[in-house]
Amino acid sequence: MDTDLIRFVAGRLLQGALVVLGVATLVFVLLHLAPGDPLTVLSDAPQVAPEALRQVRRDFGLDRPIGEQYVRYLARLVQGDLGVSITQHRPVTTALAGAIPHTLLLAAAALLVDFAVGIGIGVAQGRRAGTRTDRLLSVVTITLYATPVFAFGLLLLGVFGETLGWFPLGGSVDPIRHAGLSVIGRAMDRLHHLALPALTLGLVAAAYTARHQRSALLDVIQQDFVRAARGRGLAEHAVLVRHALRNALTPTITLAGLALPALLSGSVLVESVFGWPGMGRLAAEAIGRRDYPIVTAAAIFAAAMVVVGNLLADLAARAADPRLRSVR
Amino acid sequence: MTPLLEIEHLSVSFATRAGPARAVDDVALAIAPGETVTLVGESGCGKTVTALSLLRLLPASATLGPASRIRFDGRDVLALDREELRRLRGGAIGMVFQEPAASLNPVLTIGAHVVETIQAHDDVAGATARTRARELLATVGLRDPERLMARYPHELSGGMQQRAYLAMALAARPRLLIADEPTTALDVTTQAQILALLADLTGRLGMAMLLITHNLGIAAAVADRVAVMYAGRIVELAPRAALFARPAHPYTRGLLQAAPRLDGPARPTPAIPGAVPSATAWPDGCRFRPRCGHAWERCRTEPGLAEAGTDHVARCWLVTERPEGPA
Amino acid sequence: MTRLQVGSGLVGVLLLLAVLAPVLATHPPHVQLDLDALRNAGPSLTHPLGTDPYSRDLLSRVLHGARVSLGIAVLAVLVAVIVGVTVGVVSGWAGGVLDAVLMRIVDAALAVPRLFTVLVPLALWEHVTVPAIIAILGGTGWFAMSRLVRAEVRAARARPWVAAARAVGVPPIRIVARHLLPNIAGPVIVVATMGIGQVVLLEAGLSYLGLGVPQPLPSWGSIIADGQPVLRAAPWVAGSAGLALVATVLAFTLVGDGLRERLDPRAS
Repeated sequence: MDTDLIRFVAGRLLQGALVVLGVATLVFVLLHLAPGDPLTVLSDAPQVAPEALRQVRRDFGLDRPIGEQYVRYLARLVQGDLGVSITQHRPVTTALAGAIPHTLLLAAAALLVDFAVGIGIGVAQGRRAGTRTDRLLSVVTITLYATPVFAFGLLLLGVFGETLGWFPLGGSVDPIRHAGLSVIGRAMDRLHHLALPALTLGLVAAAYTARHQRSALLDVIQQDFVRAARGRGLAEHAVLVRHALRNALTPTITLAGLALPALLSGSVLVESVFGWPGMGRLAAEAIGRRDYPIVTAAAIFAAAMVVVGNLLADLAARAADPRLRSVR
Repeated sequence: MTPLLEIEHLSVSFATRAGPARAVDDVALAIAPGETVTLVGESGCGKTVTALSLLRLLPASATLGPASRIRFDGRDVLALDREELRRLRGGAIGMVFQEPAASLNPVLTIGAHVVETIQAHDDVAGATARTRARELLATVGLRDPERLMARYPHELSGGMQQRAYLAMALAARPRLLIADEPTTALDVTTQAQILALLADLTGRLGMAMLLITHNLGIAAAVADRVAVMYAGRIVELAPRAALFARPAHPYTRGLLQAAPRLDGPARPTPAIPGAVPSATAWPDGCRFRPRCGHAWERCRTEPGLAEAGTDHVARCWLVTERPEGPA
Repeated sequence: MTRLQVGSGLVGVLLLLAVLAPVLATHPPHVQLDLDALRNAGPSLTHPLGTDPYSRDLLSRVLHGARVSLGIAVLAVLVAVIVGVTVGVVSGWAGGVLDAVLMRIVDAALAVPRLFTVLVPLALWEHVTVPAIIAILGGTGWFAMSRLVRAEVRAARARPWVAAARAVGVPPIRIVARHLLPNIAGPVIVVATMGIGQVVLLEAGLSYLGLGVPQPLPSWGSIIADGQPVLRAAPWVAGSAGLALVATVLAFTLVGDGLRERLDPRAS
């Protein structure tokens, strides 16, 4: 492992930590900007006695000066204490720990669909630029791009779930039969439930990727080294794959880093449509109940995931393009 | 002797928003085996397009005129099928481009480049190809070929990149090398080195070369014959000595006069007035007429190539005729 | 026809429909017409798009929904543009600590996925009204714009003629107004147009989740939510609002793409 790489990763991790810190600070500021204090939202609830509320305020240190509150907030955060859910009466960390793996699984599967379909269509379009196939595919991608992810999910659910019955209507596992299945059976059950949500999220993301990949390929194909490769007598196939495509894929890999925030946003809606027990659905439900600790923790965690995702995408880009390796 | 390369009536047009641009208009040229011909002209005169058309590397927006003929070693290049064309490119005809950095794939090592070129023309195993690659890189004057092969293009200087590219172009022992402004992107010292290398290699390998440049000095250094291009046409073609001693076309004379000289007192270099016209609207009659100090009535009709000496032609009425009336 | 023409035409039609909704709608959008007999009725002459599970005429709901969704999106983007350009100009011009602090805030905010940045203030807001939604959507949408503007301002600030103007004593506001703002107008317009489409989707998502426009105000997102339980029996409920959404976002995306080609030569 070369020192350049270590320095790069270390630097980026430090930057990322600062960003997450910044997010946590923004959340803190927002919480305290609201009139009253974070517990004001509860004071309307009739069953909460004013005296009990005052006690809770003292317990949470909400009557302390704001600077001290900030420090205590950060200290708790660093230790992994994200607070207690107001409605679920358990630590937020526990609630999130159960939900995050599901979101990660969904995001990973969606990314797979995104790349497979998006790159496939983008490359197909780039090679046939200007033809009817290209224009037709453009219409498809731009329409998909304009479709709300939850509406698309409902469409898939309606057609493939309810009407055709090919896929289950929600959840991550079959509530009744899952426990009794074999290991393979359980894996298949999970995949079966994963299919529609992953396709929903992945295909909408693929529309964006395809548009990007198409223009990336067109940019590269025009470049001199592609013509030079032909001029040296290389076979057309080698020119396309080894020269054009290799270079056109690098920007798409970087795009993966940019796709992650959109995927996480989309997952809130897709998880709600399909009843997928992930972080997004947790956050959405928490809002309805004004359970802000869960929502803010989810936001902070989402930011952390974006930071890590960007770092991974940059590492992949460095691996693909040697010119990036000498950069700081 | 049968020419190695014969170009006849070559015309290339591009579709542009302002109408068709006839970048190359009825160009004829022949190159004998082992001969170096330089094609000289300002930017926009059509010389690069001419070079690209020899290997059919023009973009899809380019159309060749129906009378265009390109014959290499007796075979019609324009009629070759895809596989034959592929074998010709980088095979019997090698090509080197202007910007070596742009001609190399940034994500492949130099070694990968050379080996893939070797294997495109010769069915050899990887190890043999690698050995040949090292030899080729040494032939073009690169030291420590083994280490170089592991490097990426962006890690090399311009001169080294161009040498490496040259090595690839020579991989299949071509009989003709097309060099499109191979030194323009390099500094002067490196230019001289690359030119010397080219002269040396063409001599040793008995290779013909079509060298394209806008620099008359380069033509003077390496050419056997010089062709001057203007506005899509060849306006003068002569052996090197004759061209520089007795330029027959006003444009050639203008180019020679415009070159700064170190002998004699310093004086402002006379530039050719005006600018190169646009390829969508060549002037009527002689295309150089708007900028020519000797233009007269006759020039309203475009001249053909007239004999100005042995093997020396120029596209100007003044070669064979005199203007009537007061000068 | 170019993308710009198709998109602009579509946008024009949509805006017209939105503005004329009260005139065009045959029924008030929130009136439940007949609690039993008219639930989930299919498209007919009296109800061209059918009715929803609450016996409300869908055409009227979708038309009024256009007013709500488009109105919110346009106003929210306006807020985002004003804030984003202001912050970008201030940050780019002033430089130094102010710039560093502002840009750190922007970096942090951009690291959070957009929907989450909206959910956090939403969770803290007591009574969500339409103005509140506009404020939240606009208030969380200016970050990328400010970065864009800041980059332009910094580049322009370094130009010789700007330095000359400053040396002569021209007040910064005039320099900004006469030299910088016209230059950034193009990219800002492109981003804003694409932004309208994105905010329409965002607002629809929020309304779908029940976190957006308060009932009984119709929003395309909430209409889709209404249609989910009866998806097989009455697909026209979710379908009509869904198509309206796709058409709207498509229109603004086409216009944005077309404008980008014309106004922003630097973009690929």
